[in-house]
Amino acid sequence: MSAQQNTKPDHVKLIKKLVFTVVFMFGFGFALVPLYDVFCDITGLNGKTSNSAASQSQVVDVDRLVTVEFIAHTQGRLPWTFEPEIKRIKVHPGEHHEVNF
Amino acid sequence: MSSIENSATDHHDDHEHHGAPKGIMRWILTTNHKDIGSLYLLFSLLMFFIGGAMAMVIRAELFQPGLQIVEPNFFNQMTTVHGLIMVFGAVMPAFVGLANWMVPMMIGAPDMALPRMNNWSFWILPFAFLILLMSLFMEGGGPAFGWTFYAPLSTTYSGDSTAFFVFSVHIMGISSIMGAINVIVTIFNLRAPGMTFMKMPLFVWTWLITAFLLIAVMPVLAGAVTMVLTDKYFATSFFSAAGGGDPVLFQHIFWFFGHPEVYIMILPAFGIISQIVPTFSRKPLFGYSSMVYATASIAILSFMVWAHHMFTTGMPLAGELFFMYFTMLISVPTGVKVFNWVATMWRGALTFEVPMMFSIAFIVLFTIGGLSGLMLAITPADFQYHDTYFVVAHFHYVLVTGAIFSIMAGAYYWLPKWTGHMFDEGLAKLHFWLSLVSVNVLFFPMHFVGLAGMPRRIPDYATQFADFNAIISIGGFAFGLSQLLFVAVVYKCIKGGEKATDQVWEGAEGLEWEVPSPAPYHTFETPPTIK
Repeated sequence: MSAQQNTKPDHVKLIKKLVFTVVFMFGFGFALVPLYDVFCDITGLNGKTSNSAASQSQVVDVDRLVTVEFIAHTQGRLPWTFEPEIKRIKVHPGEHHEVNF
Repeated sequence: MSSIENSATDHHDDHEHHGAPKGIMRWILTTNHKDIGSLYLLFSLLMFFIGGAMAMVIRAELFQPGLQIVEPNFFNQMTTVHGLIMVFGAVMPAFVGLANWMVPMMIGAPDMALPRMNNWSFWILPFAFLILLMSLFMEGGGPAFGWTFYAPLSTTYSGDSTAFFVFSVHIMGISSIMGAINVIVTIFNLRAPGMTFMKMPLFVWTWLITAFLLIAVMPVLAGAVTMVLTDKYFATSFFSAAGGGDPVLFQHIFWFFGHPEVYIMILPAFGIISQIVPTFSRKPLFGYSSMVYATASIAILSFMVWAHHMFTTGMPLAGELFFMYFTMLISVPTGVKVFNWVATMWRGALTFEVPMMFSIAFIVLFTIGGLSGLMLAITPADFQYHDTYFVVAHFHYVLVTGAIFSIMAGAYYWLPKWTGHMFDEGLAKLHFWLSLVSVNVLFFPMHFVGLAGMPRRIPDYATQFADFNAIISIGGFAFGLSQLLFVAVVYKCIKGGEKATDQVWEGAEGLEWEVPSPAPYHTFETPPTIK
């Protein structure tokens, strides 16, 4: 029993450290919010997307043929039918096509 | 390796304070590590079946293309709550239960260091899951944004049940943190004299490191859900670009928790396998200290790889390369472990009892999961695999055939020590073989449909995936039903059976095998001497 009484203060000291870690990490979670911005500033890495519009390739790749399939369904037991007019279509990448539902 | 003198422990048992009290209050008020361990294990078994039932709903809906059984919104609730229940309700409490039972007995301690907190950390858990499950029955339904609750799905577009979700995750987190503090204090302060750190069984080591991971990352999860809560209800803009926040920030914070979390769910599994393989190979574990260092390095590396979950968010090239290489680095200490298990079996006198069969299945199937993880780590390839069934196959291989199989192995390994009876080995072997076959029918074809482009978290899919999905669903139903055999084995073993010896398994070594079977209510009240 005396051995156990000797370890009691150790418990308290260790628990204090562990609880401090928990509180610290909770705070750290929130600190990550500004820290990510700071990190990006320092390293010059920018995780956020730039505001310039991406340019689209207008070239049609006639060598490749891609099969695109369409499916559609209605919510639950609604009294509608809603389906694609064509189930599948073969296109070259870059081509424009219109499909009706 | 070590022997003990604990003849003094037995006559403590008939002292009036030391027997197990009777009735329901025994379980509610208990501070005994064995009672709380049993509670945790039974609770996680219940959650395993509730989460499993949700998986059955998912697989039933996906049996055929088109919508047959459930609405898409309910389907999303099923995938979300299945994930949450299995991670926080089944796998984690099962490991905490095993730690409660085995850690004090393995290090020669009379109980956990903080028994009253132990009671609390278990008894708040049922309420957390009650809140989560109740939200499924509310108007608008439960959480439907995936277990990863990405903003803005969980903030702008979520239902009113989000507050319940946040509160229940808070309670789960508090429970895990208290459990982790208890494990650390127990291992640091209550080791028997002579039980130095480098003599501790590997299950104790892996749990010590897991506990440190828990206190480091569960508070970050609590922070993340708090931010979701304030973004949704209190007009903050942590994750809303309109208010100066950043939705990608959510993913950074979530995965800073999320990646160490996956090691929280696998490191104790490594510990269990490291206990079982030497027993049935009748050889000491090969490379004990390298196992300890490998576990520690996995834990440290786990903090440096979180963004490999977010390769497709538009990260800079430097970030993608850094996270790709560090992720691949983790396979080195993991490889050390797999090598050590195989080397332990090499030229050992192997026998194939049920725990060993689950362990060998673990080693093979977990390695498959690890290899698909390496494939996902390759950044350019990940753009193809991201959010497909390939990812689903990967994490179910590491969590079901990894974590769950190790828990099954551990349960079969220690069940005779807990109940004092041998379990029905024929039935257990049937459980093993049915699980082994069905789990692979269930998850292996997911690799193929994933690589062919089937996205995850969808209630309907393109018709070319129909055949594979039917096979997957059949595997799923078979795996789910096979688990009922486990319940039958456990029930029969509690009720009776052949009397187990103290050592139970011929090659078993360690303090837990030197106390009687079933383990008395109090063990090691006088610390054993480790020679």
